[in-house]
Amino acid sequence: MMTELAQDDLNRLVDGRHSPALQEALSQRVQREDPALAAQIEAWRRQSEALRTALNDLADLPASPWLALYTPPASAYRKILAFLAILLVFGLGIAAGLVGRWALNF
Amino acid sequence: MLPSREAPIRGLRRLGRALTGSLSAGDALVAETMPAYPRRQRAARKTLADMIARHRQDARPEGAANCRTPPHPAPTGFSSSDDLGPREVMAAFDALPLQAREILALVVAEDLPYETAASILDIPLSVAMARLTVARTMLDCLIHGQNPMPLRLVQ
Repeated sequence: MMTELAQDDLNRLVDGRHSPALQEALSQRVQREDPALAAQIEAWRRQSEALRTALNDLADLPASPWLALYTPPASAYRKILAFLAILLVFGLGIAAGLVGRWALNF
Repeated sequence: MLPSREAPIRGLRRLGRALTGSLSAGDALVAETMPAYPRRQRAARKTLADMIARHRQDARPEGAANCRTPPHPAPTGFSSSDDLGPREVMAAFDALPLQAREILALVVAEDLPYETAASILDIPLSVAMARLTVARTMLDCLIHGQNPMPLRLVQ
């Protein structure tokens, strides 16, 4: 007997994206009515897991040089801090100049 | 291993590898897309869509994958998915048409909701689900070198 499943149900069953209760009920129904389909779903599940693991492992390999040099864009907080740091250095420069001028005149 | 400050890039590298079929080409694709890499989730999805669009511009036309011939020599004793290793699954995955790799990468590797994957690919949800089913069927087919069991699908 061949179980009729909508594509949506079939894929959700493979990816485990049904609610736990529905996942269990559908799995049992497919297993009971169509063992061949149940085996196919299980094979797809294992293949998905193997693909996920393989791609994760590849993504963990050392990055190409141009990518390893990449620095993520600074956040707004860091930009403000950098601006304040520039202001502080500029202010210290002016202060040092004024003190130097005062010292020369003294 | 990437430094922790570059952790968000890991997902993009995974997608880049999945789309291009090689790590270095995937990294190049990521590097082209990354200058605008955002931190917010919504914008990150846009980055995935930008990567896919950029890759489609450069992708060469592909021939149809042949399920009768596995893309790799099956190891001795390889008879079921229980023995499925990363080399076997990646060889089969790389032999899939681009549309199949895109949907599998987004749904399986990136674990995105179906609706989000459909949105990134700019296709209706029903088309995304159909592509996912076909992609899974073809992947199974390529791994085992035989046509899969017929499925009766109801739209």
